[in-house]
Amino acid sequence: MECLNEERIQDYLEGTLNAMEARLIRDHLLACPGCNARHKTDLKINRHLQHPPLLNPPDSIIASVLRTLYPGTSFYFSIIALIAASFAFLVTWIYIYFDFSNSSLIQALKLTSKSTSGWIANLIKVVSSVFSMIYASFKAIHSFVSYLLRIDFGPEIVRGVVLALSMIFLYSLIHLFSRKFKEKRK
Amino acid sequence: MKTFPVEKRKTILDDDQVLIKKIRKGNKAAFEELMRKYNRKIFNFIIRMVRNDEVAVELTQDFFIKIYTVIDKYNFEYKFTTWAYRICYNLVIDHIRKNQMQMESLDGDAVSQKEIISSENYVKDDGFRILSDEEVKNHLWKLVDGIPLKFKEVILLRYIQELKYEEIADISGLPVGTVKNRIFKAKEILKQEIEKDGMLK
Repeated sequence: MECLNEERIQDYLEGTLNAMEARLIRDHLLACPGCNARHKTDLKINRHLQHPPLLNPPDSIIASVLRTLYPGTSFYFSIIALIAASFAFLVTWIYIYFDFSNSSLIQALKLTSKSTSGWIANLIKVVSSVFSMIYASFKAIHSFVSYLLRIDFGPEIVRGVVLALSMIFLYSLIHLFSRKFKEKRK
Repeated sequence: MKTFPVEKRKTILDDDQVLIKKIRKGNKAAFEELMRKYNRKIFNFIIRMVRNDEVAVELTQDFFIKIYTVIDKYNFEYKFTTWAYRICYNLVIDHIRKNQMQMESLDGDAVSQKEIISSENYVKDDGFRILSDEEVKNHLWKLVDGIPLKFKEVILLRYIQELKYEEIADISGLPVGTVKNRIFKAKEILKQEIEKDGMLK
């Protein structure tokens, strides 16, 4: 076999030759001191290239990217969300505490929607429907459980349950809204 | 539009792809994990290409932001690294092309290795001691910084990003034969320089 050129030695080192070619070159390297010396030099360079001295990137890179891509909720958005949540909480609480037994608020809302027009009337209709549903559901559950267990739950317990569930619902709504808002901003 | 001819995958998701699925669902921790996994290699590739700390930090950040913004376009049939490194490569090449000083390197008029070594007071064999493997390796990698960009980019993709010839060809848009040839020529340049300095004895 003729002496190996540099390209051949590199192919051998990079492992791009087939088994037969690799074997021929290996045999030649054992027999030829000149090619063997060149192979050793190339091997050394390859080894150094395969283990590059790597710098440690500054931690600020990841922190900065995360700050850009996942910003916290903005101050103004937090204020608006807080006001909205407080208002919703107040309305729910007033209804449950003072109006649960006679549903006069629902009646009032229905009357108001009749005397109003446009999107405000529709909004009032939606609110009164939601209150009606809550009212009807809990009245039904209250009657059913009282009948089943032969215990008359006081209106305070029912109010407490309604209040707790309202708060969970409200919290979920705000959480969902803030998440959608953040995704939209991204 | 380029296609991805290498390492086509169909069904089993690898670790990166599992992370991508989570990122798409808005999982912040998954994206952080992906960044920590590739931060070092990407940063080292970029810093050796641009040779400027601040620019390297900026480009590494830009790379991750870019990855995040186009993550929905990633095709699960292909390796994440090939897709991501191509984005990184394009980002760096775009930056270099916009930079007047680096334009010279693109044309092949790189600063000579000798100048780089002498300007940085690099450790050389003083004739009284045998240099350690670590010193030779550092010297060799300093030489890599000084070779023309067309050789440097393939060396960095091959040895820092640990890519195969086919993957480098896919990322750089060069034929596999050209990639192989450039790596060979780059090694020849490095070998000549390092032998001139008597560092392989």
